[in-house]
Amino acid sequence: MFDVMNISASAMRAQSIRIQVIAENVAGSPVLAARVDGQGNAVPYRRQQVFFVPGAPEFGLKSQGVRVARIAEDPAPFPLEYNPDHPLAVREGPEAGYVRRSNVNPLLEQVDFLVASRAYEANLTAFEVTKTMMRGALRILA
Amino acid sequence: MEKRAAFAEMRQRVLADTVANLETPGYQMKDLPEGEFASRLTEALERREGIGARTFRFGRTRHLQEVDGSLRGQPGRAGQSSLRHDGNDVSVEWLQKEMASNAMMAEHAQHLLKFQFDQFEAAVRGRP
Repeated sequence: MFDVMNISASAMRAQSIRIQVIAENVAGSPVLAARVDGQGNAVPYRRQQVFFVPGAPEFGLKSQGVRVARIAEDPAPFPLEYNPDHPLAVREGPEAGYVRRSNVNPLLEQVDFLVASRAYEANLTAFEVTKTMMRGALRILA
Repeated sequence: MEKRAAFAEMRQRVLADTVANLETPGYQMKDLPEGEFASRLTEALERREGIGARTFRFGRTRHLQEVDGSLRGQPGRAGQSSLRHDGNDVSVEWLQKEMASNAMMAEHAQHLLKFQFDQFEAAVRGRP
């Protein structure tokens, strides 16, 4: 029966990791020069994505529960904004004169955050239900 | 009643797992069918009354099996929800409903069990 609590706890952990990544995305969205590419042009912050898979060995669960399998970069292209006077504008090539912006879409992050926090709450509810059931079972004895 | 409470606990495990995988791509809803358990329990009870036996045998159904007196379950698919684009079909609303009714069933079984034990205790003591 204690396993059931581990299942819900693993999901709560996974969802909180997801919320953390969303916060990182929102914080990183205005960054125009996270690194520099081979041509000396600024590369903005790339959006991070969380991938879930069933099973949570961290909580002693083989096939039940959920965990974050990996956090990977979103391969979507950077939106371009024409601004040749900008110090970080691309100097040469087909994108010359354009400023690369981060591929984070704040609206999408907002929606993702809402879904993640609702999922967290759903797991919390399941946790509470399990607790009530366990308490009931213990009350049979005393 | 013991079987009832055990089944509710087992089902809670499966439902909690499904809630945990609310957002896992490709995950499909699992459940232990309540109806299957209830009808087999009724059958088993009727059989026991019929032959006047003392022991109770649950036997096995599609998803449930009695091993050494304890109930084991093999969750099956619960397919009444539409598939989303990521291959996941978990419906939170349906899960919340099932979890609430399952918890109520467990509470009911636990109350009755406690009542039975209290009766035993009263009988042993010889006074109410």
